[in-house]
Order: sequence, then structure tokens, then C-alpha cells
Amino acid sequence: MRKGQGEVVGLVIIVILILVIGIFAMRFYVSSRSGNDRDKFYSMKANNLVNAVRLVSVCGDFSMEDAIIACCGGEEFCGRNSKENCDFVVGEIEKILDKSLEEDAVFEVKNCFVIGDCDFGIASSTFMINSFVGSHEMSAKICKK
Amino acid sequence: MAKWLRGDLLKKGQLQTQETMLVIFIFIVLLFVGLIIFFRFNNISIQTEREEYENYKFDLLISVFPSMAEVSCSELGVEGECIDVSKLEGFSSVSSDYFSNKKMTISINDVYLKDKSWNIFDNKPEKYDSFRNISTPVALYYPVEEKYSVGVLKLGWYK
Amino acid sequence: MKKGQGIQFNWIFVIIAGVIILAFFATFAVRFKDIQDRKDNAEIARGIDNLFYGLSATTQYNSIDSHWTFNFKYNCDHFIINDDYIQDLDNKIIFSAKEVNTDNILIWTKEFKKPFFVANLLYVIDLDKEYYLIGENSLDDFPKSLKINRNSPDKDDKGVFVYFRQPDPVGLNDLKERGSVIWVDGNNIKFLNSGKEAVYYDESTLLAAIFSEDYEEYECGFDRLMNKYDNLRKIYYQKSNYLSTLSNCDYSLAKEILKRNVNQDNLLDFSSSLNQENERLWQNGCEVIF
Repeated sequence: MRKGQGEVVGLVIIVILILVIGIFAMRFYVSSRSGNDRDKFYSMKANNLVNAVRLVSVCGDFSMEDAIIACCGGEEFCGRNSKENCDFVVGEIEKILDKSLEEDAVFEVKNCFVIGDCDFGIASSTFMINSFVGSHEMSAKICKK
Repeated sequence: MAKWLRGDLLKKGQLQTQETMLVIFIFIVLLFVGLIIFFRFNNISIQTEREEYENYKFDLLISVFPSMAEVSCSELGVEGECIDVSKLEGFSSVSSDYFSNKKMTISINDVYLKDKSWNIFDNKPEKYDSFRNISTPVALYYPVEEKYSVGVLKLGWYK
Repeated sequence: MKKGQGIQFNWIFVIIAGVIILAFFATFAVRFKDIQDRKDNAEIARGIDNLFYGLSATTQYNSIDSHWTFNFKYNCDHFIINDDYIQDLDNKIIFSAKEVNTDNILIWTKEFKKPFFVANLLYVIDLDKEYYLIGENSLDDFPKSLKINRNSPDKDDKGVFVYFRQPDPVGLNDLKERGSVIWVDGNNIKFLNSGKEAVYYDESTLLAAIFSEDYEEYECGFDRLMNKYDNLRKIYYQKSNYLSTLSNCDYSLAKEILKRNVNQDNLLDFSSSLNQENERLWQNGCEVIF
């Protein structure tokens, strides 16, 4: 009688173990799938941000992209010297990031300036701009919490 | 003694049979329960995948909406990567043709040049179980002034 | 209980238990296959819908290559995979044959602009099907994977037969049995299988008719296109109102044109007039309508 009981108990334990492992495996599988879709969302958002920032009108017919090119090329822009222009560009972009995003973000023009900081985030595609001193890659990154 | 032996054996045999029956019965019950859970999980996962895909399509709207011909800016037939604010009011009047079966709200507000906002579509139901909202920066174009600003496109979904 | 009876009872019990267990496994296998089929149908439908989303923003083509043949049914505002999974088309403008049975589907897009951009028309094409273009025509820019044949069909050929001259009445009935027959006659498209006629305006709508294969499917997509066109007309009318109140330019003619109700018959005139007015505004340094 003890042997039979032992067998039954053993069987029950094995089945319960398999079910529990299966449930954990399913949870991991589902959560990894949904993670990929959120990355795509943040990537589109980052692309929209770069596009909106570069087009914004800052001085007459001139856009932020023109101001950034002047800043990175060390040139005067809209009656401001190079340093004043760069301070203006950084200040305006900070304002835009603050008002248009719920998340933290990083806006970078390589070899020129970086606004914001985060360890992990989803980046946009890079947008090339050409200044007097060379080409610069402009991109944004939406920070992940 | 023989009588006693036979009695003993009979009890042992009955016990063995009962044990076997019990084991098989429990095994079948567990198997049955496992199969029911498995099928229910599979059915639920198909439904969940469909919902996830609807969520994904909702998220895609932050890219699809600004590029719709009905709101995007253009010059001499060439589409630009911005939203033409002069089209937004016109689109509000026909937006139900595009989103009529969706319990959604769509709005845009300028956060840089001007303090302006547009309610493009509002189909908020009286009762709902859950609410999802997403937002994205967008480029706005004012055609008369020929100026670009930054706006925030907000999309809300009531389930 | 006697020993013999005990053994018999055991065997009966084993057989009954065995049958029950086998029945469970058989049911499980059948139900499992059904569920897997449903999942596969959902995957195919989502793959196609994803292509529609991606391609409606650009003009190019992409294909889905499945490991098995599936059935695609087009029902105007939705499509169905294997009579099982239904996927809504939302606001996309799709042109497809009523039913496609294939393991290889191509989605191709072409812009419809008259004179403003309206939509990218999405064509659902069976890559196993052959398209015969008979007679002189200007259609030459097809994706390489499409089977395009510019010769007259032979006796046993099947596919879609598009005539750019009057088709020979001899053998026409036999041709209709082997596929869809379309006659492009001036600005009209005659679907000879159903005996109905429709209009087309440019290459994009001509291709739409070819890949729809028959009147009903073409008309469905065409109606959705015309609805979108009318909405855009209203939006541009509102825009011209907005521009006229805030600028010194004269938008009265543009407003007059945009006020007209547009239908199949006057669309080309409307398009030409609006395009001329838009150009005039641009030349005068005014903000254009589109």
C-alpha cells in the first residue's frame, strides 16, 4: 500500500512541476514578444522628434536645421555670433523636448552637441547635415525607464 | 493455512487492482485537466495576439496619421513631412469617415510657436473598461505665415 | 472473485481505459491541428495587413511567400484567410480578385494623383497567375516576379487576358472559361465575363482594373477611392477658405472649383481646372492649395 501511494504522489508531483514550468515559460514568451512592439513605437516617436525639431522655424525663413548647421560650423546666424547661436539652439531644443515628450530624451548632433543623457533608449534613424567643417549625424533617443 | 493464504492473496490482489485503478483514474483526470488548460490557453492566445496586433496598429498611428494625404503638407503635389494646420479643420469635419467604428480621440496642440489646439476626432464612449493614450511630437506647418512649429499629436483609445 | 473472472475483468478494464485514452489523444490531435491552423491563418492575415500598412505610405512592392497554399478572399472592406480569419482593411484602397489561392502573394502600389495626391492604390496579385497584355499599350514597368505575357494566348492558356484592341469574338467564350477577359476600349474598361463597363483615369486605375479581374471587385475599390477623393476635395475647400481669410491672394476661383461635386464623369475636368488654378497661384507668389 505504501508503494502504491508513493507512486501516485510521485506522479502528481511530476505533473504539477511540468504545469508550473510551462506557465513560467509562457509568461516569458508573451512578455518578450510585446517588448519588441514597444521598441518600434519609440523608434517612430524618435524619428518624429528629429523631423519636428529640424524643420521648426527659428528666424524668418530659416529653420532649426539651418541654425544647427551654423552652430556646428562655427558661423554667425540671425544676428548672433557662433557661441550665442549654439546656446540659443541648445536652449530651444531643450524647451521642445520638455514640452513635446512625456519621456526623457537625448538629442545629439555628432561632433557638435548633445542634449540630455540616458543609459538605455531607442534611437531614431540618423539625419545627415553638412556644415562648413564637415558632415554631422543628427539623431534622437527616447530613454527607456 | 491454505485457507488463510488464499484469503490473504485475495486481499492483496484486490488492493493491487484498486491501486492500479486509482492511479489510472488520477492520471486521466490530470491529463483531462491539462488538455482543457492547454486548449483554453491556445484559444486565449489567439485572441491575445489579435488584441496585441490591434494595439500595434494603434501605435502605428503616430506614424500613419501625419503622413495621411488628408492632413500632410504638400507643395505643388509634392508631399512634405509635416502636418498642414489649414487642413485640420476640414479633416475634423470628415474624420468620422475614417475612424467611425473606433472609440478614439485625436487631438493636436502647438507647443512652440502658437498657443493653438485642434480636436480632430472625439468618439469617447460613455462607459469603457480601460484607456490607452499615446503621443508624439509632430512638425506643424502654417501655410500663410510659411512657418513651421512643433506640436504634440495625442491619440486616446477606449476599450 | 475467481481468478479467471479476475483476469477477464482486468482485461476488460484495460481495454476500456485504453480506448478512452486513445480517444482523448485523437481528439487532442484534431483540436490541436485546428488551433494551429487558426494561428497560421492569423499570422498570414497579419503579415498581409502589415504589408498593406507599410506599402500604403510608399510606392513599391513586397511579397509574402508562405510554405503552404492559402485562400485569400477579398470582401471590399475586409479580407478572409482560409474562410477563417477576418482582417479589416480600415481605410486602405485595395484592388484584388475576389478569391486567390496561392502560396505566393505580391502587394504592389501605385500612386493616384488627380491633381492632388489621393492614395497609394494597393494591388493584391497572385504570383502564380499569368497576365496576358494583347495589343499596343504603355504598361511596361512591372515587378520582375509578375508573369506578364504580351503574346496572344494559346488554346490551353489560363490567366487574365487584357485586350487593348477589340478581342476576336471567335473563341471568346472559351477564353472566358479559362480566365478573366478585359477589353480596354479608350477610357472604358469592359469586363467581358460579367458584361459590365467601368471607367479608368490613368495607369494606376487601369492596373487596378486588371488586378481586380472583374467589375464588382474593381467597383468596390473604386468607390472607396472616390469617397476618399471627395473628402480631400472638402478638406482643400476648407483650406482655400482659410487661406483666403488670412492672405491677400484671390482664392475665389479655387473655391469655386472645389465647391463642385465630383463624379466619375467630371473628375478629369475638375483635376485639370484645379491644377491650372494651383499653378496660377504659385506663379503669383501665393500659397498653393496643394
